[in-house]
Amino acid sequence: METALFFIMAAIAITAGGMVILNKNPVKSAFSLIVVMLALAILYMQLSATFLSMIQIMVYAGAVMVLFLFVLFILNVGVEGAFSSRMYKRAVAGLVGALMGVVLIAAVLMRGSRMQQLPGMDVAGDFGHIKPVGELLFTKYLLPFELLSILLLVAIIGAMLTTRPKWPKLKLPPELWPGTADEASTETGEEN
Amino acid sequence: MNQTTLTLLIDAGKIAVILGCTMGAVAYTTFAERRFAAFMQNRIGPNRAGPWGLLQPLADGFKFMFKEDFVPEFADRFLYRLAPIVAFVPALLLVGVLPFGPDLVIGSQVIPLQIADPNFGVLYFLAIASFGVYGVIMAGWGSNNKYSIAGGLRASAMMISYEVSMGLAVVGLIMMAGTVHMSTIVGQQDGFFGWFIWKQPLGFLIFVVTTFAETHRVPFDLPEAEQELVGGYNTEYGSMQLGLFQMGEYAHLITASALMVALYLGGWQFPGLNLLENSPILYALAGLTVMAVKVFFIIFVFIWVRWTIPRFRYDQLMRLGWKVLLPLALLNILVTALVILI
Repeated sequence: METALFFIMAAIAITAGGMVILNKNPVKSAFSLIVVMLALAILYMQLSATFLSMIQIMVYAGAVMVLFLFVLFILNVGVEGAFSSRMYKRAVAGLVGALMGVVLIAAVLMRGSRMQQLPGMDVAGDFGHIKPVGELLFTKYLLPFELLSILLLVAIIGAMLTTRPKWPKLKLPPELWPGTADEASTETGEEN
Repeated sequence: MNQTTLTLLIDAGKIAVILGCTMGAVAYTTFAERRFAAFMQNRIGPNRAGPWGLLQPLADGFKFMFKEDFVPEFADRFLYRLAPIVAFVPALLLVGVLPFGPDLVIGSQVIPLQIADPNFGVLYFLAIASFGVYGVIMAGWGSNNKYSIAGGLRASAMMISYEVSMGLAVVGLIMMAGTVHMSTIVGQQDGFFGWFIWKQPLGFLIFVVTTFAETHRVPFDLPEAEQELVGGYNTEYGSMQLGLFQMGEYAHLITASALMVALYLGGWQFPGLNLLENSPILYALAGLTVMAVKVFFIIFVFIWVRWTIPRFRYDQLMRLGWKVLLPLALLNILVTALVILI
């Protein structure tokens, strides 16, 4: 039963993942990505990582993908806009993808014998529940956890900096330039 | 019959009964909305079908069924068809973790009045509730209509802004309760002043406001603002597909109200209910009644607000979400943490 569920979910995830990259329409790709994330959430649940599973649905499938779709709607990316027709770009992308695929498959093949030992492992009864995950995050992994949040903060500030319009250039007459501010203020004071 | 089969049968029965009750409640919430609206506007409202108009939801349903099932020419057929389903199913899935009453004890058989009580109950609710918005977005995109897409855009922006505050408001409650088990949270709210609304007043307020946004009710019904967007995301929809959207919204309203009752208003608990504890069947029935009355009251408040308060403007909506509710929710967490520490 559980093995069957695993294969069903894995098949759904892979099919939807294929649709993410094969779809010509970016909005449909995004919807396919939601299906991938749901299937992954159910796989996490099978690994008794219930907290991770719920967070996967809430954050990735629920919030991040809504944001993706929002941006796609606003930019109104058409079928042409999203896909580069340049041959060399396609070649580079294909090469990188093939390399990563080879690395992944090699990793599975090399570690295959070790992976088979996993099902026999004992996990604590509350493994993957909120409490143990939270305790680990705030004791053993506190530093990486905080560093990650700083990384996210940096990313947010960086995004704001790069999208912000440039400061307007000062078009002031020379007497109002910075440094001569005192004189300027006294002048306006006299006028009043 | 052995125990496993019996448990399976009981579970199947519970699912059937609870789903049936929810659908019935959906039908009669639409009726209640129309009658209360009429009452508040000094009209009579639908009173022709059956005694006091009680058969009106049935008539509405038949009307939806017999209308032509239509797909606009330029719509994306697949997404257009899928959208009402995606809007409706998550709303129904939400009843899965709601506790409706105390354990029903018949002979040696203990039946919890809840479909499932997983160790991630509240999280399940937040996770699945965030999914309803995809129906709206899909409808907006699939209809290929500028009003629909504007509705879908607004829905997604509103969802992102208010879901954060909702989750953070519940965090305060989870910290107090020390668990996310729905049944345990309800069990902790013993006695009138044990209700979490007294311990988490700010959290409750934020939760109520964000629930209005999450269920797309006035004053947060911007995705379907009919004065600006014709019908918003469902402009191109008709027949039972439109019916599914509306049923989805009412189902979400009912489940969200039930969640509010379970988290903050004591669930099925009520002062004096413990007196019935030695006759389990009566106790369970009384608990169910209390829960139903409380949920109905919350739904009434939703309807009341709908016909009282005008809609927010889009920029007001965003300002309220990010500059008021989010800081308040964070403050609530901070204060709760300090109180627990002391």
